[in-house]
Amino acid sequence: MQTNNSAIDFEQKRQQLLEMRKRILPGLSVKLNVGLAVEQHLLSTLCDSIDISQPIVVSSHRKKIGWVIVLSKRIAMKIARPAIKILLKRQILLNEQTLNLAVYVLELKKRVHKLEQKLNELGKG
Amino acid sequence: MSDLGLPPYKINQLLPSYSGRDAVGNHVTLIRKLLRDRNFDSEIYAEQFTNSAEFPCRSAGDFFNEDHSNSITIYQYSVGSDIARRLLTSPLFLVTNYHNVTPPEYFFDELHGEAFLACSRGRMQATLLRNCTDMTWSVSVFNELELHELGFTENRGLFPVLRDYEALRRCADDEFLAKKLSDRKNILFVGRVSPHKGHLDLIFAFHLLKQKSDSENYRLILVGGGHHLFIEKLANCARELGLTVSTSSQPDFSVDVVFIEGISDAELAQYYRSADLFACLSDHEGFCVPVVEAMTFGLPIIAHKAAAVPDTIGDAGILLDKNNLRDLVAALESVLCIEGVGSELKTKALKRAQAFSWENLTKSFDITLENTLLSYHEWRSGKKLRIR
Repeated sequence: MQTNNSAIDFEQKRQQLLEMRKRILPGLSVKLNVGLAVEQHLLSTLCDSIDISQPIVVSSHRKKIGWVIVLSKRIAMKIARPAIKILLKRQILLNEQTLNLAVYVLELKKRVHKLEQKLNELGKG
Repeated sequence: MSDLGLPPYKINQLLPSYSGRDAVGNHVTLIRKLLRDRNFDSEIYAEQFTNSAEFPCRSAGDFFNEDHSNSITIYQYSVGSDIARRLLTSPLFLVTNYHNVTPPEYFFDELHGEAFLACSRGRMQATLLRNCTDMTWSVSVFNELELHELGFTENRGLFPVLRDYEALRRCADDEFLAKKLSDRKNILFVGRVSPHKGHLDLIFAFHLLKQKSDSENYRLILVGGGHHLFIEKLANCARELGLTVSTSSQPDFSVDVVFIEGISDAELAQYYRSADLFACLSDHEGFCVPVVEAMTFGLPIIAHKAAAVPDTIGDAGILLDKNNLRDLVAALESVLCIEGVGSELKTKALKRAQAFSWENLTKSFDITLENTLLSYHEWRSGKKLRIR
């Protein structure tokens, strides 16, 4: 591709574009590092267990009357489940809000980390 | 399709939000059509939707209240949702159709809070979905590789986002619009006005092109909706660079940069017809439907070498690294000004578009569907048990 680009100072223009990006696209100045990736994984695990209304596996270690215990536990859970579900629904909502907040805090932490890096670079300079 | 000797069953689709008009919406609508054409019962269920005669949809709540033991469920995965959480405890044969989740950091600003949370949640729900997915469908090789990294290592299918591109090309000419656009060379981009789509880079490159050629002969047309304040921010950047801008619902084509939204397929087709170049400087795409639309109209394409875009374009366009303004401006100038460059790219684009013809898309879909039915058959006969 042969064109004459000499009239434009591309390095200066690149800096101008980067400044504009920082101004209107603040999210792009952040990159996830390894330490933060671990936290992201923890958040992911938290996200997986957000629904506490999942049925619990019922079991018994007793050999002879084990089946009676399991059956009565199941019946008791079936009777109580509708009422418990109403309560758990509110808890799930709270869990979700907490998770959203945690995600937000992690993002802020990334930004602080980035700023710290920049400050260190400036200090070294 | 081979006869698997199975009883007739339903193949339903679940997704967080269904509008019928966006890329995922189109894909879902066409999957339902193809399934019904192949004599399957098929419904679409969504958390958010506007039910209309053209795009009928049912509530995701209804889905979880019904019995789906003899059916296949396809979850369209592109953002986080309550659906994914509820799927974990549902005894279904689940196909996860992955469209890619945009990295949430793009949306970390005061305007895109909802998208930030939806994408954060979407990324985090990958592990959850891994535990309840029996088969994955990807819309690009890029997505398939990402799924593999996320731990979805088995039972994968691949077919592109469904869209009837020929139907778009068959839309009648809009002579009034064509006349308005004929006074300048038009550079076009189609896509939601969102931080990861590269609108700012495109406006900046357009400014450099104008500065370098010292000409009023170019117009940048940006088709797509978005947060009005974000569009205004971009418009202000363009004004700062000395460009004139129109963001009005009644577009003014006498300016340099025109933002347009809410248009019909016929108008969209006319923008493609009147364009001289399609530029896509997006940072993240799971497939990029507009690039294929542009290729269908034989438009030369310049794009950033990012995410799934190179897979979709193949050898039909000029692919550039991000931040290389010098090459970007040179590429824009050569396509628009040097005879032969544009026509060579046009030929390549039309050839590449054939890969996404309706015939080829349905062929890929049928192969994937057949493999899915085989997996479902195995699942039903208990050969393959998922760990929940």
